[in-house]
Amino acid sequence: MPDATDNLTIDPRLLQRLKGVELRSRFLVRGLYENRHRTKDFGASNEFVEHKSYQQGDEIRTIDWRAFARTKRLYVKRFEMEANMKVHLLLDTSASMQVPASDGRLSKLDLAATIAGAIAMMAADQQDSPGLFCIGDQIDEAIPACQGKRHLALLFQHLGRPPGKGGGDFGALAWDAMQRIGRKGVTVVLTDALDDFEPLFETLKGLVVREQDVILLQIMDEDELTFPFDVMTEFRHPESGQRIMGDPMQLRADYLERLEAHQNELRTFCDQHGIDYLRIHNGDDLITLLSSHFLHRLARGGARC
Amino acid sequence: MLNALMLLGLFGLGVPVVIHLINRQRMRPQPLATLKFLDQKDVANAFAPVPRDLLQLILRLLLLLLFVLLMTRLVGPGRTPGPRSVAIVLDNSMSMQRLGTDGTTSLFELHRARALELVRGMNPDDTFSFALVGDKVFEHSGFTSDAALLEHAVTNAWVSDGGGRSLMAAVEDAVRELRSLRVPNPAVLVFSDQQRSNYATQLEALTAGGGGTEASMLARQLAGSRVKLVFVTDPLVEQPNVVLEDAEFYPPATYLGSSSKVTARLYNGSDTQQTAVVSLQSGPVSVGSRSCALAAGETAQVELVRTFDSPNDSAWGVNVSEDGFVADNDTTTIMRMLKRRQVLLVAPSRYPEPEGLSIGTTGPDLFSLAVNPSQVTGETAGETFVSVKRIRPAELESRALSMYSMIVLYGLADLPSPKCSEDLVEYVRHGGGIYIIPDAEVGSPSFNKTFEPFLAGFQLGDILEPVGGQAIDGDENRVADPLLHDLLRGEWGTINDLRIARYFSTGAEGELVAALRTARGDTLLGVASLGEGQVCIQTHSWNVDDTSFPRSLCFVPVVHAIIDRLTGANDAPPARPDAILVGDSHRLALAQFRGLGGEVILKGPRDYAFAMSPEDEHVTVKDIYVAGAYRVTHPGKFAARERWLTVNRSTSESDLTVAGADDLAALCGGREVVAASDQLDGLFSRGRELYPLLMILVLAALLAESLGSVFGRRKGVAHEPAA
Repeated sequence: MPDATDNLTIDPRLLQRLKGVELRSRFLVRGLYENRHRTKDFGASNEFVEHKSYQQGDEIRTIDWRAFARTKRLYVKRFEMEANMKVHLLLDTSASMQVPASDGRLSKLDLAATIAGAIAMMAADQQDSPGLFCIGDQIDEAIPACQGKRHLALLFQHLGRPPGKGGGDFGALAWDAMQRIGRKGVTVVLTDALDDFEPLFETLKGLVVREQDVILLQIMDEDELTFPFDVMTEFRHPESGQRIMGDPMQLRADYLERLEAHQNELRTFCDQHGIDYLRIHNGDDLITLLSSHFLHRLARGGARC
Repeated sequence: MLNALMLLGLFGLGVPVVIHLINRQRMRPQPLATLKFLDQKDVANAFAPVPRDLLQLILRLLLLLLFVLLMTRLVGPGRTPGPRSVAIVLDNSMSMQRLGTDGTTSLFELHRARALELVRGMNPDDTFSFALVGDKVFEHSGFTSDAALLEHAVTNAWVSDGGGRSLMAAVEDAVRELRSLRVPNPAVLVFSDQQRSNYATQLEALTAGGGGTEASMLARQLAGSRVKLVFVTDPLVEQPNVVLEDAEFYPPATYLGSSSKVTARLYNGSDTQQTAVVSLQSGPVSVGSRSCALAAGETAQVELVRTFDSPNDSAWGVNVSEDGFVADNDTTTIMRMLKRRQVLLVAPSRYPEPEGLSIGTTGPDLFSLAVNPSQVTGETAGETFVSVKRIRPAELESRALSMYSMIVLYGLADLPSPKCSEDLVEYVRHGGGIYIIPDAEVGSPSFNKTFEPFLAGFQLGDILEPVGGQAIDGDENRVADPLLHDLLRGEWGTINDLRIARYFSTGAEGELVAALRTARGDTLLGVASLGEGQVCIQTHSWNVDDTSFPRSLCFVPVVHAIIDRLTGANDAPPARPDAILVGDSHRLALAQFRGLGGEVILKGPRDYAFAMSPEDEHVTVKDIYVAGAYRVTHPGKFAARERWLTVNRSTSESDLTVAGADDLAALCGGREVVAASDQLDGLFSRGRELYPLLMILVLAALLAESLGSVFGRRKGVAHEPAA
């Protein structure tokens, strides 16, 4: 593994658990290099696909001589071609992600950076090309997908110092980033998805149209989900600065109800558009959650292919 | 409210309020990215009072308030009186022996019965104390709920013959104690006849202070206090009173068979003439009485004569007939009996004892006649309380010398043996008296040698026989001992005719103190001290050939003066009998109990015991508050001579003037403090202390506050939405 962890601390246990999980695209990807990802193209892998009547130009070595012996006709064996994959990470670095968490937990931004780093490292480990877009009040960083330890170190350097400022229009800025991603690949969106859904949904739909395998990781703070406050509290929005003082005991029920409706809407959208959705908060057991999610994802992907 | 000071705790109510306000001030903004999910209606009311916080604050304030009220010990209304905290002060001074309106029961008994009724009516949550007070606090139970203990104390209360000097102090102490105890329904009930002398000091202080209540300690203690002070007074029978102020014998000591006169002093304290019968009593038996009429306010003396026919000391009661106040109607006095003195006359055989009732003319005969003429003549007339036992020198060794008051060695030049001399020396050293009279047959050298231990350096010189006799020097300045001053002053007849025909000149004066001298300066009579006794040396005999004394009128007085001097050290009665007033202390000389130690018991109307040190023959008696005659005894010596101590009342206690309600009110700062004993039931307010209710409320408030906090915290995690 590269020495890129100097700037981003990732739990070694997480990496250990993710190491055995192959990040595979549920769609066929086209890569510059043969890799373990399946594509529409046939290649020289060990995965047999079908027999095809021999046509002129086919390689002689692909002829299935046993089939010829049985049928007196020439057939060639076709195998899957394994290709490398571009994995783009769209990381929301707005101020809402930078809210410090209580009880020593990671902030949402730190948690997202950690997850992004883990995915990048996993991708690099299987010869894929991770890329990164840090999106705050603008696209702060845009690192194209590439292979190599040096690239991974650069990527980790930026993940270790996410800006955590501004924000408010992640969906629109992600649309801009999408224009640079191109077709086919895996796009992992790490955001709290608390802004208006419309631009975000448009971006996600655009990614799907571009045959991207979209993984939406909604990063939340545990306090945002449970609203555990019980004394008179003044709440402040980290981006707009809006302040509200009230009794949490009175506010809690309605708050949780609205939050749940918001979550449901997001979940429904993802289900309808085949977007892989996972909500993670900073109180979760990250290792278990991520590894099990990718295992399930692998299982689902296998079934569809 | 029993503890109003605790209301200061209400200032503590500000603490939760301040904490609440500080918490509002210190409210740090909580960053919340999901702010848009908060209800806008609640946002609009964000700065309005939040019910939950307010409720919690109110609960905490209520909890604190209830706790403060609990500490203040609130008393609420109730159907029964109490709980009561009552200090009962019962006056047991002598004046409480006055009769109540029924004419038969004393005020003390009436008040004691009322106090007993109060004690028996105690509720379980009442606390009473009982103090029996007169000149001192005789009994103090302290505050207790033990009715049996209090009943025992009240039942055993007794009335003293002293005053009520400590009454006011006891009342002040009771008020002070009740103030400090902060008890419900506090009251001090003073059962007394309210004799003015009990409050005289405080009333005089008020008068001296211009009548201002600030002079009264009691008024200051009662100011701002809930303590109710009640001087319980009941009507009394106003009857004329004749006070027997005192009575005593004169002489206070006498010999068996002789008489003494008791003088009783009476005072008519009423406004009308009274006739009182004074009687002298031996125990319950009257042995003589006299009637006396006294005008209003008059003082009179009544004398009664009594002849004493018992050899023992005796206590005698003197009383007057019953009147309105019986406590001052009697007194006691002691008659001490003097022991007869016995003189041992040792004379040689050249002075034969006259036979039968004939009267001899020798010196020893004349001396015996002068000492007790009745004994010599056998007739009643001329009897004195001194008897003479005459013996020969040879019998001296066989005599128990201590039985005799004095020893006369007449005409002796030698003693039978050296041991006899030693016995005589010991006799004198232990308080005996020796009278040495040499006659012309005695040689000076032999005399000086034989009696050298007794002479204190004095020595006889040659015998002198001046022609016509030697006259007496009448200048009393030339004699150092006043023994015969009355003789020299001519009290017993002229001394001009007195002549000494034969006497011994003075060889050496030594330390002998001359009591009589010749005109030429020779010592005729001198006294020397030896140990506790005395030796009297005369340089001439009483023989009629040697001196004209026996033929003069002054012979008998001279002889008795010498006897009184020489026997006085051994058998002198005390100057006055042991008589004290109630409450006095007295140092009682008890030589007969010397070395016994232990306790001396005084047996009389009440028994008292006083510790006596084995090294001391004195015991200090004190704190006797019941008048009467007390016999002084010791368990270790039953056969000792009877001793008596009389304890009599002070005449000041016969002043029955009562302090008025105004006086008592002035003492208490103007409060209405007088009530009759049958008005006490309405004294106590009806109510009960509310601490059980307040305690329940405090616990309920505490529980509600705790549940609120716990419920609030749990509610925070109860609505976590499904992931």
